[in-house]
Amino acid sequence: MAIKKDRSELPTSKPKAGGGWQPDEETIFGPLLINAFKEMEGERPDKERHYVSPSNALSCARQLSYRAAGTPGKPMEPSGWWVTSLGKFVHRVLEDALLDEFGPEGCTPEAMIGTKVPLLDDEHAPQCEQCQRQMVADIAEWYCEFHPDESAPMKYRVEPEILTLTVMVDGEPTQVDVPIIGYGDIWIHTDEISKVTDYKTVGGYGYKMAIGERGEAEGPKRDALFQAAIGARFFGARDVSVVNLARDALSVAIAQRKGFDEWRRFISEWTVPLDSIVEEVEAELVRMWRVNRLWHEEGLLAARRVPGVPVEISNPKTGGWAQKEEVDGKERLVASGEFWGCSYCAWQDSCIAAGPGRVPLPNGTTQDDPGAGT
Amino acid sequence: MDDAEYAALMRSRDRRRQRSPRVLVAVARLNGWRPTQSPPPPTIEVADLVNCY
Repeated sequence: MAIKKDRSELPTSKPKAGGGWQPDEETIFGPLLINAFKEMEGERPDKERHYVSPSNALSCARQLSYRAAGTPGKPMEPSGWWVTSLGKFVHRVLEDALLDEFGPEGCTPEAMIGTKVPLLDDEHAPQCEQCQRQMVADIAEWYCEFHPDESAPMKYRVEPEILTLTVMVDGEPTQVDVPIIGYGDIWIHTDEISKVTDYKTVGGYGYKMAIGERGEAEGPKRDALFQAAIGARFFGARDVSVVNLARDALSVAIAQRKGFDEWRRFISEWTVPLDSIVEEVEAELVRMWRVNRLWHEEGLLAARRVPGVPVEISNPKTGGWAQKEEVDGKERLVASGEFWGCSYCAWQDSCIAAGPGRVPLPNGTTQDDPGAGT
Repeated sequence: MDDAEYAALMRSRDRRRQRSPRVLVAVARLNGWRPTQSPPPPTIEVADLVNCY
């Protein structure tokens, strides 16, 4: 009798349309879960920005313009809520664990670049001269023995911190004041360790590429490294690091084949000295600020330029770009590609409508119009 | 440092003392860690980056 090899763990070669056990048409649990995440995290309204944010480092210049203008983007899809909420959950757990380990004297989670200024409107002002302000976690409350029940959490606005940089602009050393608001995920400042770290939860494929499960290890995304580096530059930390956390652990079989230990199946860290990238990081801060000024001072959106992509993106629907050069008197295509970010951009439709190059917003809106960009 | 902050700090230190040896080893490695690698070279010249918009 022939011996049958069980290969049921492998995918079938030619699935029939509608065959197999298809999932239900609709989900009961999905909307409930995502709505619960939305209530926990809250939605952030878009607003004009006269500062730059580390979390936007190395992003498309056109996208930076829309953020500067406060143009509302497409609301985040449920899948986006799922992925970002998982990331925030890991952030919170790690913050607590690091505080337990290093203590408040050794680390600062959510290290803020910016200054909180209390907003003293009627609702949040002290009720009388006796009222004292008490900080509970990160929220200030006014109270006194005469007004024990009338305390209310203070509201804040955040003032940017100004970082003065000297960078080469068109071959000339140029001093630029860059206003920044943002957070470093964790700043560790013990006698031994001086570094700012960015945590990133990443998909399984991205994680495999980063650690070298497929080909040479690519390392973490450079934008995550820059996000941490801006914090390190501001706080005066020596090192910069990125932690990648895979949303799905590598299989035991892959880990054994590659010689990865148990930790590497889901977590990897990369640390570099800030000095090794500081020039590039400062140049990026200046680029982001120039994009911001282009909108607020000249009323123009920046071109669809992405650091690392040699020319402007010509097709924001796909992220397609094509680099042409004149060879022997004829224009020839020398390189082309597709930038992945366009498909995920909340301003993709606006960007398509606005056209290429440095352009004003369509419909004649300018940076001075109330509600510009809406 | 007020009393509440001091108490919180002491609780935090107590918790640290109770950690398992395995966690302590991991932390010792972290304390001794020095970066040994440099990141890959930039994908754009620094001089061109400020004009990439």
